[in-house]
Amino acid sequence: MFASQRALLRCARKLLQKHRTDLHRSPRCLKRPGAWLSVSPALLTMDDFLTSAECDALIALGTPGAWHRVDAIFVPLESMEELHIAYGFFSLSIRSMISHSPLFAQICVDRG
Amino acid sequence: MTDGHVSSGRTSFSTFLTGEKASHSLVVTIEKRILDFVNSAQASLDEIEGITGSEAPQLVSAEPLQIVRYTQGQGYTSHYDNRAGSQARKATFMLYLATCESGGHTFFPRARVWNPDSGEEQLCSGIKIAPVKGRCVFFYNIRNGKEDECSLHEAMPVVSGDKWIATLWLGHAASSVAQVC
Repeated sequence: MFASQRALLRCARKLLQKHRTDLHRSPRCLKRPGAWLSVSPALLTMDDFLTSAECDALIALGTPGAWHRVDAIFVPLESMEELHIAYGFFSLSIRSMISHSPLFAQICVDRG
Repeated sequence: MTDGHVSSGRTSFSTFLTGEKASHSLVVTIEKRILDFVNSAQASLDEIEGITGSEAPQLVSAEPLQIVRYTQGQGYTSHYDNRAGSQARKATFMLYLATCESGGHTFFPRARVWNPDSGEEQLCSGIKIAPVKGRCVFFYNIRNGKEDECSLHEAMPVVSGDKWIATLWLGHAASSVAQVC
């Protein structure tokens, strides 16, 4: 494990311990400062969980492999466009924690 | 399902890291990092919401790590993870291994986001997560021992570029079975 990853994990643990009630029941909404949100299902996202090199290495490890191609149904792009409307984007970033910023969880919800 | 049979709703290329690949140092390191993370998270979640029931056993790998590649136009329609593969998929940990140029979001159509301070006002009725290299998403497929309908999710079709993910399905220590259907 890289040193940065150890630091990341340490930060994640601190975050989870310190903000255990905030993380899922009351994530912070960056679009509406001061607002706290509840989310269902229980879901976490975190940026930089893997380094870029680790991502590349995992892809390489899986190639070549016993790949299965599954192509039973083509999902039409046209109908999916409608689903983009009114649904949100949700992201938890702990980048700021790594750079020694104050410890907090950021949840960003973009509508539309 | 990635057993080589036709799957309803999924279009992708996938492989499980089994055999020697399962014991590769990178895979071992990442799996350990995931388990450290999810069990830290679970300790908090169980205390707050009783998500996994009263016993709250530790989460362990239920299956080998799976690598999936979605190319342009490929996706996976809405599904519940606990109904596919082995029966031990209590939670899902997904890693995005590449940033998809356009599309390929992980979409939870039944997810709910609301502000508890303003009554039951629902801010949005879905959560969409963009595939960004290095990002992870962890979610439970069960709540209080039963399937969580809010965990319904889909891989939206890739519009351009390739989407690469690695997925580790997690089960409870007591019921974990290294089984891939």
